[in-house]
Amino acid sequence: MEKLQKNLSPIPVKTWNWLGVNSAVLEADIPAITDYSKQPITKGSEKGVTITDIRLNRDTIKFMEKKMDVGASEAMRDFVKKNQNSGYFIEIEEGEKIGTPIILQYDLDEENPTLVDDHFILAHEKSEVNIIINYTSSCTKNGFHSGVTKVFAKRGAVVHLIKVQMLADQDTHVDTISAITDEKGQVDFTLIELGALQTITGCRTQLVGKNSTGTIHSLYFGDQNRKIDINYVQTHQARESLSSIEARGVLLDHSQKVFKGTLDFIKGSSGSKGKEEEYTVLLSPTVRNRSTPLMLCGEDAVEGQHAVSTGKMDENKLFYLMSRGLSEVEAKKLIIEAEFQPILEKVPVIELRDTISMYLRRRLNHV
Amino acid sequence: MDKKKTVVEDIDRGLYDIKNKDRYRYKASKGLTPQIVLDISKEKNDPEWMREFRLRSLEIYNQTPMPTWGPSLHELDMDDIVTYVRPDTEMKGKWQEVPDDIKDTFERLGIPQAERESLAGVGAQYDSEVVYHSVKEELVKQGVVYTDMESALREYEPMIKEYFMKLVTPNDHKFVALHGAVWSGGSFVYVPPGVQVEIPLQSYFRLNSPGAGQFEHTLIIVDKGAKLHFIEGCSAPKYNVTNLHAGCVELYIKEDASLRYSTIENWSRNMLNLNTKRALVEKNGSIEWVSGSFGSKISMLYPRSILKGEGARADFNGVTFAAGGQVLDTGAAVIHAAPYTSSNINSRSISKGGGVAVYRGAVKVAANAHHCKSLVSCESLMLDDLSRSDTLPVIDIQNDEVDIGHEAKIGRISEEAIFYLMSRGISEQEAKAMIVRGFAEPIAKELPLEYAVEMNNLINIELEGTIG
Repeated sequence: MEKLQKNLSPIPVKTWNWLGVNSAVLEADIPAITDYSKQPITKGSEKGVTITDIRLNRDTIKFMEKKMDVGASEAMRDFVKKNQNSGYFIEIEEGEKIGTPIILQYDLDEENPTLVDDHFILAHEKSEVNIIINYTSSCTKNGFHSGVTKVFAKRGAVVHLIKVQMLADQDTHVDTISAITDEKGQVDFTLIELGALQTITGCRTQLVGKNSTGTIHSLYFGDQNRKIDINYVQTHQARESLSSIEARGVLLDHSQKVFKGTLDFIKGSSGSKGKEEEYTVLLSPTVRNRSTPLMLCGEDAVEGQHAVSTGKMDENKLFYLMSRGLSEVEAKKLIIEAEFQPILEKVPVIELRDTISMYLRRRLNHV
Repeated sequence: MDKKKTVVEDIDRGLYDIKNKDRYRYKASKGLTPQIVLDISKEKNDPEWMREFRLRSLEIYNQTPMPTWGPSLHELDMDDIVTYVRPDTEMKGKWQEVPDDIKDTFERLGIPQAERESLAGVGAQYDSEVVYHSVKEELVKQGVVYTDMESALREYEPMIKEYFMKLVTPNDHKFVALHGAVWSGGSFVYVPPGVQVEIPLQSYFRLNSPGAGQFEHTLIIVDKGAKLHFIEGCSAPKYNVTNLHAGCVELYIKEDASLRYSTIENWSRNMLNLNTKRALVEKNGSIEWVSGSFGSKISMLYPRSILKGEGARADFNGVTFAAGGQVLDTGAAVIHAAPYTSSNINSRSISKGGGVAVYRGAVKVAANAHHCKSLVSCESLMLDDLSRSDTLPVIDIQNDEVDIGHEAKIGRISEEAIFYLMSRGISEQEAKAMIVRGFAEPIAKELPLEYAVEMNNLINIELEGTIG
């Protein structure tokens, strides 16, 4: 077990050890994995979509999986495969544009305190789909989630995947997404990390087909003693591929965050463009905020840029709102909500968006 | 119409590659053992504490693993490196007395000429020891000390004992432990309170002996309210065996003092340059690094500034040019350890012909260091698709009263810019050279004129035959 907890979610190129960003360590012990007995699929029986137990499809996905990044670590990948207690193979037929989002709702509770989920999303040529996976918890102590989601967008396919994590304050969350895109394929991820005591999450997209696109919109919120480790990698392996990472977050109390974002231009990815931005607002003097925006480049005909900005809340905005009669707390809440809004709007289901907003407001009460 | 060639005249790279006969008075055996360290210590007539320090450092070296990050150093075999070569001459205070072959080498590199024209003092190190040192009379009268480390250890022992390897300790990493064990040569500068040294001091390091290591130690103390500009230059002829440079630079900048530390490094392409540089800046003091990295086979060089006093400031301006066969892993680190400190890092890197340029940096803001400001800007230019350019910055912030920004860009020479210049009658080759020089300009302008010219010349040499 100890081996499992170390060297998680490494950055593609190591730097000085004293900065503590090369990899993450899972602090809580991994509990014995018990059954997850609830039915997570709340919506999804549309025409053009097949959702089956992943264990029935191991042979189909074996070949595709081989090409994919291992995610958090090889040990964790093997752990998920071995201990998986939920997981689906979601297949979208060629040319099918699925209007209604497919929703998987996982809720940890006293009977189901552990979840190890393993999913594979296969979008055939020119199909399009919205998938939402939402993790919540009413566990009173130490809920545990570890999971892997693999996405394969074939030629011209578009996959929008929205993951929302609102686990309970003592829970652990280790999650990885690995994606591959064929020519003109597109994967668009909205990743919202709000709960859990420790979060170790990663998303690695391999842009294998030319003119393919990978985007990540990320939102995180740290308060109390939360620890968040985020590791996104966009690998440009083909010509004229596009990628972007946009992350926004707020940290307060004693929370700690490590954000690692990599744009990797492999030789041969000429004409590709990548962009990465991270904005963090710090609201307490005791937070720790680490950012590691890497750019790796083996091809000259590319454009890559990244920008990181960290600081306090804009005092002019705060002053303006307070001059309009809002209390300081109200004004701060409003500014944070406004900061998060562009990413929350990516959630295609209004009810879920409202749930997230309510959850955030409740958490912001002590700002 | 005849095509115009590059604007700045090319210089003959050959001058860096001139080899003298390997003449020495004492040369340590190859490799690294306690006996070799004791022999060096004896040869240098070290005081007791220094001998013990060397042996302790050797122990640390043996216990410390190789770095797990950065370029591969597999070709470094310490059993093949000669750690100490005393040149066959005493240190001279008059240029005429320096042996002819050594003198000619430095003449070709323009050192005495630079001294006559624009320097307040000069030191020249050949292999492991300083062979020439001079400083202007008026500075001596003001109490400025500029001497070689060996003399300093005799004449200013208490001060050396207080500061030597206290900022960069042998526990820091493997190669600094190695340095602690076998160091020799280097310069010591002390600027007394309030003294403004308006014209720069310069040290030039030349490694002639094949398969040797150079481990010079530079210790500079700029006392309260004083000011100094120090320049170092490094070169070596190319041999087919690996040479190692593991120098150490410790800079102490006291209250309200300021130091500008400029380096033009042009080691030969068989050199492993694993140098450690660090500055400790006290209240309202400032350190300004200007760094040009052109030579060596592998470089790992990241000057670190520790802003210890309120209002202290660090600036870093660096350009790195990696050509075929070179891995130049360079950058800067700043530790904000006090409130109201500020830093500005500006790095430009160029890679071509299969060269690898890496920017590795860190900005760390301690919990008590409120109201800090830091801006980091990295730009990389790739001249072809054989090369690599990586940017690896880390920002670590431990309080909320900060204003930190980081931006980086990577790309190649814009075709629109070339087209524009060509439409103005400039040849393609010249247009490209102009753009590259323009790219390095923010760094070049921080250098004294003759060094800026040398840097432009180096860029021109590097670009010859590769573009256009």
